[in-house]
Amino acid sequence: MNKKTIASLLLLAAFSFAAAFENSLIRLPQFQDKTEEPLSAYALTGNPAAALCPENVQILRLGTAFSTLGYRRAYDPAATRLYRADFTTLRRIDDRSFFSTNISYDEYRQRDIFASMEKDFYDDYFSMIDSTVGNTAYYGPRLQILYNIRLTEKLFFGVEADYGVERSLKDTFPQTITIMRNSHYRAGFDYRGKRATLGVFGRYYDDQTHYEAVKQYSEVETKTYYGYNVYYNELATSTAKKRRTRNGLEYGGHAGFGSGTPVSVDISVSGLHRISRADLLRGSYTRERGLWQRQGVHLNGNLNWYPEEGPAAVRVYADYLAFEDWGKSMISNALVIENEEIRSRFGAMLVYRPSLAQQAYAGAEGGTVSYDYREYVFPFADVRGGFEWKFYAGAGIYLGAKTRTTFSLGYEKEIPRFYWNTTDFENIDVIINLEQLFSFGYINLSFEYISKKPANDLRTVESVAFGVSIRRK
Amino acid sequence: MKRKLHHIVLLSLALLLGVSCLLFEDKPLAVDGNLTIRLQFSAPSEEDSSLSVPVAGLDVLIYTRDYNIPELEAVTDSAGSVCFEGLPYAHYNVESHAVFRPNSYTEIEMVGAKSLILTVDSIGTDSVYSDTVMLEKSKRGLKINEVYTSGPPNNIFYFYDQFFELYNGLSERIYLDGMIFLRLRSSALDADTLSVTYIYQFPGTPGTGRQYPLEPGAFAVLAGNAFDHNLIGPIRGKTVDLSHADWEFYNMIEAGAYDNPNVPNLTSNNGRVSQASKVDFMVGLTGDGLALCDGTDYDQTDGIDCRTVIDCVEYSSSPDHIKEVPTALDASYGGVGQLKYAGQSLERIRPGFDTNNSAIDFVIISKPTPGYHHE
Repeated sequence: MNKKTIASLLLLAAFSFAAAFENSLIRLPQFQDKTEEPLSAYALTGNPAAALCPENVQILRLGTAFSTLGYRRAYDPAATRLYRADFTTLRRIDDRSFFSTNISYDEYRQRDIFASMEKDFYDDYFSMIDSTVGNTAYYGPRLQILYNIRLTEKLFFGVEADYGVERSLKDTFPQTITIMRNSHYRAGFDYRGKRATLGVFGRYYDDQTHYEAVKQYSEVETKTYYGYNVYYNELATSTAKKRRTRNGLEYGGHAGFGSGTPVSVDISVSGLHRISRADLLRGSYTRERGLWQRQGVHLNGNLNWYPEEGPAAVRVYADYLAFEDWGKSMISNALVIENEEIRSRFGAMLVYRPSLAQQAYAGAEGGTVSYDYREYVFPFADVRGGFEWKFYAGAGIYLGAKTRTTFSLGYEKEIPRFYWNTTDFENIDVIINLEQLFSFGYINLSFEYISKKPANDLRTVESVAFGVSIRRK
Repeated sequence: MKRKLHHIVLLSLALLLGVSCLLFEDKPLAVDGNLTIRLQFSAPSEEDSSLSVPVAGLDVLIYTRDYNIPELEAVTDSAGSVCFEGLPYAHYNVESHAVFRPNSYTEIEMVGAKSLILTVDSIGTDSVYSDTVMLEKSKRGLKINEVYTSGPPNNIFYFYDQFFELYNGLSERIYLDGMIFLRLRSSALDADTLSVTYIYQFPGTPGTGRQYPLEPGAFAVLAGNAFDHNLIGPIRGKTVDLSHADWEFYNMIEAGAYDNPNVPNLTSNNGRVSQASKVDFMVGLTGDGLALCDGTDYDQTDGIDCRTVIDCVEYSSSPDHIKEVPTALDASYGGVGQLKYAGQSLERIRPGFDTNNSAIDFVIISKPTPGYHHE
């Protein structure tokens, strides 16, 4: 295994454009990762029983990411900044078991958020707004632990826990405090036979978020959205509190054939359910405002041709995700929102490995998406679909005996959801890594730039990330 | 070992199924936004008042303050009915107002209003709601037209700029002599008398006095403190100038009470009405009851006779407020959702508009309008 590449990819994953703390229900595999060998079942499914520990690793990472949202929706921030420090260890306990821990601390700042009390207004159908414009800083630690043990010669068991707490303060009047507690617990089995591997896994997801807006002089005038267009006028109070509770389950299985041979196939299927509740707390009373459920199915698979001899390798992959949401108003006890989304993509990547030290890859993927979103309180529908595509290429070369660089380029068409004023985005991403070997280990510097340009607007969304990581030898 | 593993796997699956049953809910059958409201508008027959006749060609307005959805207007058909479709479950107010001319020399002003609370729980999954609204001849008279109590935008808890506005909707001059203005205490909803917290009286003799007239279509501003509140630094430019108010509340036993010598006073402790309170006439910022009475019953020790009430208003910002004023005087209460210290005021939809239902009669306006009506 190429450790340098692992470090680079881990770093990039850590400082990607995504918000800091959110623990999403749906896990989309990154098929472009780890080009030097076939993706593991753990990378595809997250089954902790399928995780591998070829050697002990310790990585300290520091990084920051800045983004400017020139093009944004009403309740998006104008700009964001993310600072992160994290420490990862992967350590073998004995020849049967190993564990991995990751401790991180994030600070995520959002600037000029119009009215939203939520960290991500568009992530919830029952989001709440107040009457302010301001800046918010979210900060908090997060701990992830993974334990994997070989129960019998061919059967492995793994368990993973992830727990984080985050706080925020919006420096406006009324001031808004947010406390989030987010955790997931995953367990699974993996049977690794000579010809085939077979795994099952389950995941429980729990997210508790508490918002509290406190008056400065005028009372807090809050509104609860039922979807993204109609809101319910809440009673003005000296403090407005909201509680968001999310619980979810994911369960599935995966199978692999030809693992360790030049031709291998992995497929996985999982089902997912999540329920999200939004309650308003007024005095000692709880006013239920809405609940929405998501359920869906996720299938993916890849076919790898990685011959031991010869410089070429091929990865072909496919991913299918379909889910539907429905939302219920707890005021009227009636259906208020329905949403159905289907995403499928198919891709292929050619890897060229002229030597152990150098490699290059290029690939393309395409797929269809369809979104069918409907609000019923005041009729609104957004039905859209189309073809998404992406071209990408990258390379890794040694500049000297101890210096290695990797870079990748991507060009993509994305059909976004919950953007009413544009049909698609044109995305460009550039990633550059530079890694130097020292006596104590490796130091890696990374740079990432992402640009998203809407089809009918000159304004763009720009994001730049810088990171440094130290990995002990 | 294998047997143990089988047990673990089966237990895990059973646990997943059990948790999923506990966690998740069934999709509701009723869909919001499909509600149909059918209203029948009728008026008492000219020939026989015990009968009612449908009213055609009537403009009807329906709106909700629950959601940010537009108001809807429609005109009644020849059968006097009107239908609104595609509405969400919510609290609605229905208003209708028309002037009829049965002949060239007569005009009749009719009003009809109703408050509807429509949720799945109240009407079930049936998505059609039908009701009848009886039109009444407009009750013109002396009314409490505006209630400004919630305070200007400030962070010093300033609310001493309260005022109340009267409007004479009669076609002739009216005299305020001896009338009393009350802050109410909680009374039984079917009570014959009103319990009183504060009682203030206009000078003059009730009923027969002719010193303090109010012309038809005129407003009278009753100020808590009749001075320009904009002179106070933190609220400069955010509130009202009451130095030219028509009347000022003045408590004779309040030490150091402000009294504008150019503004006549409504007073307590003047020999007829009396109270122990040593503070000025102040009412709840976003919830209280007020009454204007003719002054023939001014002995508040046994309550004020409801038959002497000229107009009565109850208001509260809370939708869960427990009513405190007899329903015969005010069927509900206005001001739901009103903010404290935001400069908001409560005013009748139109000058003097009165259906004895403050939820319908009053609207929250963004700034007070002493001596005139909002647009």
